[in-house]
This record gives sequence, C-alpha cells and structure tokens, in this order.
Amino acid sequence: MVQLRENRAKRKLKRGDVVTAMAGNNSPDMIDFLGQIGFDTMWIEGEHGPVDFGDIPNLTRACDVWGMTSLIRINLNIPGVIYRTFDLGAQGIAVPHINTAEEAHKVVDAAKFGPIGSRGSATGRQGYGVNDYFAKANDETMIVILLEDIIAIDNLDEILTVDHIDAFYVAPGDLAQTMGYIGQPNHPEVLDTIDAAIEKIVTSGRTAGALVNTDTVDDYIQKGARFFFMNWHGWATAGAQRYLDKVKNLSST
Amino acid sequence: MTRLRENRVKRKLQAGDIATVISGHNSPDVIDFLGSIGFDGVWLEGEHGPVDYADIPDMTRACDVWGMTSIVRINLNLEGVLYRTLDLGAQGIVTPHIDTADQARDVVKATKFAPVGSRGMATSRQGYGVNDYFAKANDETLIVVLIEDILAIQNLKDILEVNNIDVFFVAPGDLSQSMGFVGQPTHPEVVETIDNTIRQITMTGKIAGALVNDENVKRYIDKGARFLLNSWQEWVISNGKNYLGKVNSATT
Repeated sequence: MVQLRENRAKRKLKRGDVVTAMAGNNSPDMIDFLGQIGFDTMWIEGEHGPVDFGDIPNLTRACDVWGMTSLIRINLNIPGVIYRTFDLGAQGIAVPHINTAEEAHKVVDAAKFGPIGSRGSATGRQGYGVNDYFAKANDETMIVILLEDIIAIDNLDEILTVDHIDAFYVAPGDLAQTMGYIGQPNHPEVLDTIDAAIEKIVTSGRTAGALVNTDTVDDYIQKGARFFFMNWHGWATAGAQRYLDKVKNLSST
Repeated sequence: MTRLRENRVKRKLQAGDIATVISGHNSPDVIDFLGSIGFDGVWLEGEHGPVDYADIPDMTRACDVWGMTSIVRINLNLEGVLYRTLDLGAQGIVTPHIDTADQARDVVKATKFAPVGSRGMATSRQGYGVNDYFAKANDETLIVVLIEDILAIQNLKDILEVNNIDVFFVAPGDLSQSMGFVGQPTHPEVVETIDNTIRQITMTGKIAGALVNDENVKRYIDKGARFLLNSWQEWVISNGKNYLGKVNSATT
C-alpha cells in the first residue's frame, strides 16, 4: 500500500527543530532547482503572487520530488479555497490576517477532516494509492496562520487556545502598517511588538514564526521562534551586485 | 512613429564595452525580478532548457520592460527556427555547435533581412508600430555563435571571416568533451585552448564571449572577452547554504 507522504516541516516543528520556508518567485523548475540546497519547505505565494489553483499540482509535485513540504499562502479564509488547495497537492497552507480565535477555528475546520473539522471530502493528489488517506491526512497537513494586524496581537491569548495550528507566524509588514508605521517593519515599536508576540507564543507552548534573513536568524532562534520565512531574491541580488561591481571596476581600470 | 527597440548588448559591444548576460532558470517573473539588478542581457535557454516558441513573447517582453537584451539559445541551426525565434520577440540568437564557416553563414542568412541575408519576411513583435522595421531590424539583431567543438577551433580562421556575427562565444563544456575530457571544462589543455581561441578572436578584431563566474571573470576580461555569461544560480546556492549552515550552528 502506498503510504501518505510525510510532511517534513510539520515533523520538524513537532520535534522543536527549525524549519525554513523558502519564498521567492516560483515555478516548478525553480522549486526543483532550489531542492538541492536543503530547505524543509517551499512557500508558494498565492496571497500576493501569481499562483492559481491550476498551478498547484505541478508546483507541489516539484516539492514532492525533493521531500520538501509544499506550503501555499492563500488569499481568502474560505473553506472552498482551503480544501481545494489541499486537494490539488499542498501539504500546508498559510492563511493571512487571522485576527480572532473564531477566524483561526474556521481555518482548522476547513483544513482538517472529521472529527477535528469538516474539510470537504475528496482524495487529493497526495492521496493517490493511499487507502487510509482520510485517517492520515490530518497528521500530514500543516497549518500556518499569520498574525499581522495589531488586533491579532490584542487577541493573541484567545487565538493561542486554538488547537491544530502548527505555526503562528508574526508577519512584520502588515503589522507595521496597522500600527501606523507603514513601510517601517523595523521601527522599534514594531520590533518590540513582534518580540513580545513571539515570547507569548513560545511561552504558551506553541510554535512561533518570523521573517528572517541570514543576519537576523540566530537572534530569532534565541527568541524561540522555529518557523522562518526567507526569500532567495536577496541572495541572487547580493551575488549579482558583487559580480557586476567587479566587472565594472575591472572594465574601468 | 514608434522606434525599433535598441539592442543594449549589441550597442555596448559595438562601443567596445563589456556586456553582462545572465542565465539561470527563467520565467517572465524571474526576468522581471532580475531586471532591477542591472544586467545588459538575459540568456533564455532553448537548446538544453524548456523555452518553447510560445514562451518567447512573454519572456522577451519581461526583458523589454527593463531594457535588457533578450537572447535565446536555440537548438537547431535551421532557418525556420532562427527567424521564428526573432519574430516572437528575441533581440538576439545564440546558435550552438557552429563548426564551419558555412554553418556560420547559414545563421547570418536566416537572421538578417536582405541585402545581408534572406530572413523570412514578417514583422516581429518587436516591430509593432515600427514603420521602418525592415530597414532597422538587422542593426538591432544580435548574433552569437558557439565555438564548442575542437573541429570549430581547427576551422576558426575561416569562421572568423564570416561577417555580421556579433559574438564568437567559446563554450567550455562541449569543447572539453570533444577534446576527450568529458566533464572537465577546467582541464589545463581545455583552458589553454579556450585562451588561445579568445586571443585569436580578439586579434582579428572580432568579439569573444566566455562563460565566467565571480572568481574567473577578471581573468577572462584580461584575456579580452567582452560578452560575459554568468548564471545567478550559484549565488542562491552559496548564500542559501550559508544561511542553512548558520541555522544549524545556532541550534546545535
């Protein structure tokens, strides 16, 4: 019998290990290429990005061949969007702008089969040949919610009581905006708010997520966050800039 | 009147400047992202890669919006392939495995309108609104030929006599294979052959191209190469591994 594919990122988070979600423009070929580097999960962008339902099978298959968890950020907290995303092959979803416990419950309800929730009943692509799909799917389905509005921070205690959420990701961009600091995710007040939220999440025994880069990642590990969002664009840009500067210097001498 | 879009790589090479061309997986969105960094041209891979005819308009448009020259490497030195690639929006063509002067002439003939050649008559996507397209197109079309077989090196003197080729690119991978050193593009004999070839190209007043990386780019500029091809993928791999290494050492 075919075994349901393991969700690497979910397993690692359960063990308390660090998981890095790799974001950036993605296509199946791009994901296939990134696979060699060793990331646990690919962040596939459907809230702000171009990923449509029809793209999900090929994008998630490219993750499957490298054993990376396919994590799709959706744009609507609506059951039809959540379960269709899973049916097409996603192993995880990231849901933006979760501001209340009720909204968080709604995500869980749509993402998990009974008895936990009431995810629309269908065998997804991940279930081909898996006879016990409905019994196992909940265990291999990862849920990330985004805390990115000041109201979510105000409601954090309640939100943290919602079970079956694998990571509570504190996203700085929108948070800064709702705090009156649009475009200033590094404003001291915003950073303090993020740190306090991470502390609260970690103290309550849940998994906290943060936006990092190579310079800030140890700091967030120290703070207890375990789920990280990282974008490869900065690496390409930095490498390219160094190379182009070198060419420029060489051709002007 | 709409003016035909300038070919930045061709212009820079004509001015004796270096042209930096970037390769790696591409989609219109990736090209759009790379555009902000400052490369002169983008290498679209249709010899070994997935780029099909139907992909060319969107990919080359993404180059156009940043003023980067779109350069498609094709897989067959056939007229129908060459002019269709240009018709769909490419500003430049790379043709692999050019081993003889005749083959080089075939490329020119298929990519240039008369009186230089006999490119199939059609207005490219690049020609929308350009009334003098047929008069100007040849001036904005970049031709790169790949010198990548030892046979081509033996025939180099003849090949270099073919006019209207912008870049003679010495490609190490296949060259090393054809010299009996498969998978060893940095074998001393291969490197020496590449160096000699670049020198010969440069000495005849033609433009040489080379595959470079961050470490050897100075070397190739010093040798005289002016069309430089690099890939962004190594930057992501090395920075990505560096990041993951940092995560590992912070948790153990």
